[in-house]
Amino acid sequence: MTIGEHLDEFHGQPVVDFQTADDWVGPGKSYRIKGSWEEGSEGIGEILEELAAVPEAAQLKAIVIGLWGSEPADKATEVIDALANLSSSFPKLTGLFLGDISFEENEMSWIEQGDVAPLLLAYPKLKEFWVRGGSGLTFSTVKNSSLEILGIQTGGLPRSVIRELTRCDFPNLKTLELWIGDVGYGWDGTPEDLQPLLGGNFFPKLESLGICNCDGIDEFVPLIVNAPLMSRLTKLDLSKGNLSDVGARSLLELKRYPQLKTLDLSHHYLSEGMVAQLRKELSCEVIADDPQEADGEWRSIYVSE
Amino acid sequence: MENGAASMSASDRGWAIVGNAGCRRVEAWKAALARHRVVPSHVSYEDLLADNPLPMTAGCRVRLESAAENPRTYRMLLKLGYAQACQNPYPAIEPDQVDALPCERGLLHAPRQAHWGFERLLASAGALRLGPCHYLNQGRDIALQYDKTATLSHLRQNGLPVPEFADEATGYESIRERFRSRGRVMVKWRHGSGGAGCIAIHWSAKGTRAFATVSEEIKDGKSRLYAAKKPRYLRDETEIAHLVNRLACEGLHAEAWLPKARDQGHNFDLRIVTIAGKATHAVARGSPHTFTNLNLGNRRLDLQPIITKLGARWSQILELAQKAAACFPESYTLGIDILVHADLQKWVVLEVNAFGNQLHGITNAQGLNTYEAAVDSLMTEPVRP
Repeated sequence: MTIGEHLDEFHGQPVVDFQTADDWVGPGKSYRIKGSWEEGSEGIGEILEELAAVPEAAQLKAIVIGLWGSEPADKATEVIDALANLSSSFPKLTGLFLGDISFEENEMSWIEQGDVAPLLLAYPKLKEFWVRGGSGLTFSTVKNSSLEILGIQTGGLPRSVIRELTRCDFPNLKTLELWIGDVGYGWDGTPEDLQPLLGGNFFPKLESLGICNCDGIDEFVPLIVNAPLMSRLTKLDLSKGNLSDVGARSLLELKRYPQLKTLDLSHHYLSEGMVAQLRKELSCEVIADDPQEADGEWRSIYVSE
Repeated sequence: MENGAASMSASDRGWAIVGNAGCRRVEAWKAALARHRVVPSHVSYEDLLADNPLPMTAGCRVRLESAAENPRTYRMLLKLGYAQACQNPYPAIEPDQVDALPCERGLLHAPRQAHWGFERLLASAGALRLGPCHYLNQGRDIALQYDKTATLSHLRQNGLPVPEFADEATGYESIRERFRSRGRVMVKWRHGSGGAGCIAIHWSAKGTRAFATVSEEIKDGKSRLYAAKKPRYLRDETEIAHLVNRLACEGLHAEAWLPKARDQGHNFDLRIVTIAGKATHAVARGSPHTFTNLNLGNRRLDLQPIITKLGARWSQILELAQKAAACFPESYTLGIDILVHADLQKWVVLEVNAFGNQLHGITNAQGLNTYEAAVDSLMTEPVRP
């Protein structure tokens, strides 16, 4: 499976493509700015300036950045800098998606990301921030007191990003979603790399954790269910991975956490019996959509490039 | 004006539709003519090829229809194309083996050999068997339209915008050399139709990947090609090169892979039908991927929002379709495929489809489908001189 579609909705608003000022249909939309593989990253800055020049742009709540070229030379840095420099034009921006790029436009693991810290600094009111693509991605060490939702979608997450996150200061972060991916496409860690995060000393308001699109999620589950952080999570999202009955057996211990409301296991390789047992023994809602069938020994994850 | 236009009214000389029995296109022509109380003769490709007597009057109007989608006709075309196939470095299927070919969903038997058969049929059928008739479409136009490289070359010579393409595409290495600097190429069967045999290739410093609508399988030591229902993803350059080279004996066309405009959450391109040189009907073919002519997962988009978005550019696009049709003055009705670039500022002709006027459920402002509109146009107006 792959991400074939672009976002229809983001930050609670429909997404509308913005190429020229003619595309403006009022501030109640999330505008997507994108280049194509023909133009590379050069055009995006100009389109952003055109968006900033719209009189009502000051009311805009969300921006989606699409493709900025699909060659390694097309760095996200130019787009990040251009958007950061325009922050005074978008004082009400609370939602940002960096990399709404379909599989056909570029492979997820080929997307050249960059240091996203300038965006988190330039937009201190940002509540929701998503980034797609792990290659070249860094967060530096940044503080943002508004950020509530952070999502990092990758085909392979560099472990350095997890380390950097624990150095960032996001005092109001409630939802964190990490797509781990697999070793063939950039994941260079082990389950133990999540230990600091799971210790619960960071992000005091965190209540929803996603360890998604994770190859070998079975091996992560024992660490997660026994982590101190678990005692304050209301949602645990292990979707899009290749969870089997082996990992699911450990999940039965989640009954120790009465505050947990939702467990999402969608895109899984569980037996029907195991799904039934989880639902019977756990008091939380167990979402187990999109069951998969193993191809011999092979259990692919959602974005398995 | 032996094979050209008529000054007499269109109904008084009789009509003949050449096509496969049960073909929806043939039925659509019959229905459109029935509105004028005209009952056309139907000439099947089998009759035409088998030298059976033809039920038609000299000087009647003839519409040649598609020979596709009929296994018996396909086998006859393979036999007819055998001689030409033998003159090329090509794994020809011998005529006495043709009837024993397995019938399997998606299995593509020697498409180029069938195409050679079709070319031979087009070249010979009119002159030798049908006699001096008034053709709605001429065999030589159809043959040209079934050659993607020649069609784009013809359009470019007439000053029309087309994707950058290779004059010759012999195999993976030559295609790579020609298009690597662009980053992307679309490789198609030169004579293919309906989205079969396409490979979209993306080269990056990070690697090579491709989406293909065709796959190769080895059965009993023989290589077979299958049409893929949804695009397959290839990530190994050796495998990609092998597939391109496997397809190469079927004849390749290579052009720039251009990003398509999007609307309603889909990539789309336009199929515009022309009748007597005028753009009369259009659909936007939407797809989650680049192959808008595959069946799976694709759908027609609502055209009105696209027209609104394009504004004054819409009439320029229709004009381009008309200019493309004008490059084929012996084809009364055509389906022109136009790609609108992702930036909505540029458009190119992708293909000219000889039998591309089949658009289910699409009517013009007068409520006529493409067949009705073509018949009415012929009935009421003198055809171009």
